[in-house]
Amino acid sequence: MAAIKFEKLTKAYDHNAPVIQNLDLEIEEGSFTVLLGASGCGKSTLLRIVAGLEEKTAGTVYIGGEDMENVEPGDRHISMVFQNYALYPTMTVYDNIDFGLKNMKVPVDERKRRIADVAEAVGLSDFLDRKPKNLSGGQRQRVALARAIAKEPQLFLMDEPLSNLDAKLRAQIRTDLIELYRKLNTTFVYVTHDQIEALSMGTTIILLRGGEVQHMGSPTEIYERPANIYTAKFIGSPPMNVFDVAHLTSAPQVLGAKHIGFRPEKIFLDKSAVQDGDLTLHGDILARELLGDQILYKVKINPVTIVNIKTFNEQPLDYGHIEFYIKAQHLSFFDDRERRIDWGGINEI
Amino acid sequence: MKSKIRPYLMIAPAMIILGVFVIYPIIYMNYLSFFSWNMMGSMKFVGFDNFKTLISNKDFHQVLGNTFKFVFWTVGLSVILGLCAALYLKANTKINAFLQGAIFVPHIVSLVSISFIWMWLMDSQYGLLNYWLGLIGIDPIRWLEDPNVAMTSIIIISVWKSIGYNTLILVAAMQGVPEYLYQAASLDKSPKVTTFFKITLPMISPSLFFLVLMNLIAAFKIFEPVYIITNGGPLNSTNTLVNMIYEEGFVFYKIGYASSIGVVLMLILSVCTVLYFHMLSRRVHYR
Amino acid sequence: MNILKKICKTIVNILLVLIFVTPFYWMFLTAFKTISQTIQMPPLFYVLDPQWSNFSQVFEKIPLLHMFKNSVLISAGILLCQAITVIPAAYAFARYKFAGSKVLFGLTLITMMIPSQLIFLPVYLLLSKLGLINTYASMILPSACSAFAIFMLRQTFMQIPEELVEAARLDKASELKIMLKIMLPIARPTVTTLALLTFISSWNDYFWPLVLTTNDTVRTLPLGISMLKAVDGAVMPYHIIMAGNVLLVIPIIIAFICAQKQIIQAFTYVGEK
Repeated sequence: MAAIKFEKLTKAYDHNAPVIQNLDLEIEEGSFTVLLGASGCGKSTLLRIVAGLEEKTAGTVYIGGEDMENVEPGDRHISMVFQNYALYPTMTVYDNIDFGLKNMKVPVDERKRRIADVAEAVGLSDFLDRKPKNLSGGQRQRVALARAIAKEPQLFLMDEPLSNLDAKLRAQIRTDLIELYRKLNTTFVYVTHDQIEALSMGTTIILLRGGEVQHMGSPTEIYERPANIYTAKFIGSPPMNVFDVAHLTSAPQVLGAKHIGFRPEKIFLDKSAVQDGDLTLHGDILARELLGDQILYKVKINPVTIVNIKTFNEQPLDYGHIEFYIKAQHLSFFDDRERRIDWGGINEI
Repeated sequence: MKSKIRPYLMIAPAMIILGVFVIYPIIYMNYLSFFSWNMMGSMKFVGFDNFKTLISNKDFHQVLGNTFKFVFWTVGLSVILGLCAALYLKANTKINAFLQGAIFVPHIVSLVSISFIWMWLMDSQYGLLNYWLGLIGIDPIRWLEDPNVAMTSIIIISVWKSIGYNTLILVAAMQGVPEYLYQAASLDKSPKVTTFFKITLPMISPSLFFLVLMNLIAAFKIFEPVYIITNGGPLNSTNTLVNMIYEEGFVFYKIGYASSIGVVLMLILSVCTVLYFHMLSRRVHYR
Repeated sequence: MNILKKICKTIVNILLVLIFVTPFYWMFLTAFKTISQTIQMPPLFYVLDPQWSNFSQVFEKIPLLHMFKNSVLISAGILLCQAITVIPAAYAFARYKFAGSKVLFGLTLITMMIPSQLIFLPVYLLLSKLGLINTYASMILPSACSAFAIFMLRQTFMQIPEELVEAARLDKASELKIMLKIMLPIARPTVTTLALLTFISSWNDYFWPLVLTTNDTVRTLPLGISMLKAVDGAVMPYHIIMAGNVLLVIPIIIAFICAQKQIIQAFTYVGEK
């Protein structure tokens, strides 16, 4: 059964053009689904419609098979973690967690037990008497999580919960969230603009653009077989190299192909490994970045095309003219409407 | 449906009170200004007669003049002196905090007390002020009895009372000016006067605007010191608009006539407010 | 140069203290003098035998305790009424979009610019038509709402992040609970500030009691003190007036000394809007 189902969902603010139009989408029970996209793509709006914080303009939303029409946010059995955590500043950590439980009329003993458990689980037991303003950013984040967990919801919603943390803490909490997801075994819906978060935590990624689904699939699939150029260029850092096949002198002939693409990290420099059908390109190095475990090159292969190359564990190349190669199975092709063409060249992923 | 009427229910108590005790009275006052009525008998419609009487009344001219004189000097002096005091006290030290507190106290003390204290200080025979003036060889001044001096005395008292508040607001505004602006100015070798006019003054101008409006409204409604200390005298020299409304209304029971003075005051205050918002919308935003 | 500057500063400081503190010192001093000491020349700058009887004379001339009680009751009544009218209105203006909200809020702002000195005549007529003159209601109702307080509190409510309300809604809190348990505690500093300002102004108020009362039933302290003036006719009994004045001023001065920081902050906060 689907945890969340949208039918012909439309959302427009006031009299502006709709942000979401006639969207049909199902989010699988027990999945960690990431709604990914640039700002303004409608991902947060979608999440807030699920939470009931935003009125939809038309269509139907089901949670756990139930129509959510006229169901108050508080009655939807969901928890939400906000970007700024939305902790109640005048309440202690304990009261922050307790507030929702009390409103849900959970019995006193049960409340005490749940708060103790959840505080233990996120490592806040010593901070229950503190006010949010006396906590660090990471601790506040954990209070927000604890508050969400304690309600034992059937659905977790998270709206960019890591964006206010520094890089190190973000990496740590990512793994914490994965652990949490595996332990709780409930549905997570997670909104982010950060592809790393999406790829590392999600079991399903939904890439949105202008309120439309660009690609929905597992992280591997979305990375290896992007459904269109937008997806290909959104995922990966640096993104996939995509350019017009017309700019190539020699290319594998694929019916209807207008664009060719390959990931920077799939490029290799060892000529001896080249096989039949592999693509050979050459150009001048414009810039070289040594990043320790990897080296990035920016190479100009013709006046209008620049290719990003990412290599690992190799000697840095000197500036100048280089030749590089891509295995045939690592090539993607897109048609004139920028959609992926399955050309049968990939048997191994 | 319930959520549709909720906001209206929530604002209802406030709207009812403001409607009944502010909006309705102001409309009623305008209405009354076209009538002749002594509170007892029947009301008689007289058109613009009250205003005509007002325009030809020498006393009213004097009262209007007195009020404007009072407003001009009180607002001007208390804002400028407040600005000076703020410049003097803006550094965040203990002594300054104490002095600022001392200057501010008159603002939170009842006008009744202030009036009596100054009446006593300005007593022409036994007052402290004249005693001190005598020490430096100045003849006693009849602060409150001389028609040429009385208004000045009332102005002094009002300025004394309101400087503290102005200082407080301006000190806060000055402390809100980022320090790096001053550092940049001193790196540019800007003289102190230039720094004041080019940095401090523009940066605190929003607060200054606000203060001027507040002071203007407060000054136009001047009543207590006049009523308690001089009761408008001597020779009508300290009589102001509100005091005149009170007299005509509560002493002579000329309700319509008093209301027409009220209408004049209302128009003056409206002009001030409109001017203020006009300037507010045109002023440059520095923050 | 530096020493000269220091000396100048000290002189200015002393002058400031003289100008702003002497009047109050003189008030306290006079309150303890005999009538002959008050008119003694050169004046006495200290008192060796404080005349406590001046205070008992105040009690004889005006019903001081009764007026004190009135002052307390009326100030408290105004505070209570303003809490009831201002808080929900500020909340509604801050949080809800509803038809006419802009017009009504604009109207509220306009009332902020109308001083009581402008409308006291019609208000008196209204209250007397309602038969409320010389009742507590007449002293409280005209001040039962403050447009200014609505404005300030609305600002505060609007600065509270929307997410907090949303989090509370997800926590199954009712609208009333969100207002009372989440929003109001966050706005507490503003509420305290406004309460302080309202209390000071209603405690000091002379104008409404003057125009709205015709006997002592609900008259307050400031009016009582002003009535000391009329008692003796020819010579102003300044020692008694000042004794009354001391009684009126002391609560405010004590409050100021105890809570100087809060009071200063309250007034500054308001001015910075």
